Amino acid sequence: MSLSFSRAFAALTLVTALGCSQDTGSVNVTIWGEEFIETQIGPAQNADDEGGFQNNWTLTFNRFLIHVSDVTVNNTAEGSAGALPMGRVYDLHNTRGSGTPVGAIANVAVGRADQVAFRINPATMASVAGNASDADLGFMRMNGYSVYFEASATRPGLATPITLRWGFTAATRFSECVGEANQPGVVVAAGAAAAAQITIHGDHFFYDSLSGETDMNGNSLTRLRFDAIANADANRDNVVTLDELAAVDLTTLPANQYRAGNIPNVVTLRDFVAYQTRSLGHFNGEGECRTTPL
Amino acid sequence: MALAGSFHCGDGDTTGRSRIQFGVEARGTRVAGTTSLGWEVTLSEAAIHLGAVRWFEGQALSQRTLLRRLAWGTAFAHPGHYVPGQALAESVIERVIDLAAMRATDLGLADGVSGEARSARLELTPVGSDGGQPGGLSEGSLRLRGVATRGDQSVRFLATPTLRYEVQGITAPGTLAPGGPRWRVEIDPVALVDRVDFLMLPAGDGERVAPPEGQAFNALSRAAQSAATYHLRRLDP
Repeated sequence: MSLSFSRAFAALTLVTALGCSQDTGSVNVTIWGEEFIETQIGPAQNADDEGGFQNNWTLTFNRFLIHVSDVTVNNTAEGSAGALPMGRVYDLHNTRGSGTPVGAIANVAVGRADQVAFRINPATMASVAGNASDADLGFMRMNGYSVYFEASATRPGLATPITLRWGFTAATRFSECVGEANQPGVVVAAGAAAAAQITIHGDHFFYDSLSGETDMNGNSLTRLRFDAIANADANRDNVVTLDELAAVDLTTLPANQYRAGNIPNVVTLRDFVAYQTRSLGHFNGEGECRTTPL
Repeated sequence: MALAGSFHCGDGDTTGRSRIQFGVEARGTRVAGTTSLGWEVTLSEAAIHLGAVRWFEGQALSQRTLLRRLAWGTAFAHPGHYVPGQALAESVIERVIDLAAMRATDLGLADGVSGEARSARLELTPVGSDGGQPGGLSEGSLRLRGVATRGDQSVRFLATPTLRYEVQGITAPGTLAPGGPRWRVEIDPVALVDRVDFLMLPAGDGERVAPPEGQAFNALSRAAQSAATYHLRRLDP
């Protein structure tokens, strides 16, 4: 009797345990800056090519530090949620062809976790290193940067490359992220791990539009440009600073470039590139997120 | 751009939307003000040539990006934050609006389908050959004449840029429904000169005319192409 009871209890326990595991899965969160940040952004093939720089510029990131925090995954239908609240610093130039792990969120209800969100916000003394070095972590903490990058840009005939060392302190929440099939969040299967990649689009810093205007035929007017940035080098030291960008009023640039659309208070080139920090964060490659300035 | 095909309505409409028609008008909101560069501006003439106006369901500032994948598979995205969404209605009458008159100019009737509008597009085009238009606009897309004063400096100016552009992501909140009220396109002519540095106009004893290149033309063009210069308002009783 006792043995039978024990067996029955054990079987019940096993069933219960299996039931629990079948009701939940996990979400593995990674972050990636794509080839643009890992390798380089090359020149456009023609004037209509939006995927490369106009006028034969090539830009290489040498360091791309970013602070990410408050990653949340929520299945609103099941009332199931999980989070990775800790702020972490990553160097997206030091990844190779895939995302680097941020963390795993366990015990997420099976089904569609329809609400995925994260923040790109200033590093604090509580922040820790993701794949960044201790020195880079300290640098981001000390400066309170949310994003910092170093890059060099060149084009044929240019004797000395142009160097950029730009840091930004903007805080942005990226929420309601949708995947590439325009579906919200991720699907979590029982006992399995779903992939949620925070994809950072570093090329956005060099777009010449904030609102993605199209012409009257629906063709995109956005292009990747570097000439105005290179020309901002007022002291001709081949290093373009954000202060030098702040001296460039947008009305001194060609009227069909660097249009701010419906974004208020963007009057200088510095305002323009700083605003682009709002558009860096994406989901699972090309997926979109709603952005909220914090 | 013909929107009728995207309304998804008609005799066999299954979308639950109703055909609607409503009146549209446009007017300027002010003729004097202080710019962000500290100029006190008073406009004696202000006119703009408007083309089609179109209403959409998408948020004016939706904070979502437009995405596409390149042929070689590298993911990237436009930084744009405006996704127009479903087209709802359009008014296609072209007309010159005398912004300095401070009274509404009728733009006729807009046709479309019912829905919740959030944003709009507006075409700027050069005035046609039927010159002698209100506000002195006989050529170009825009005419602004006035006086700008900053400290002891006073500049009389005239600008007549020609633009061909569809302004996108204009704020236009309101329900479009059968029997609904008129809508008004409100245009701030002082915002058009907000970033003009009047001292950079060619020197002269009299009126300084903005050349087709230069800072003033650039600033005017940017402002005219900015959605923030315009607002569409439903005129509820």
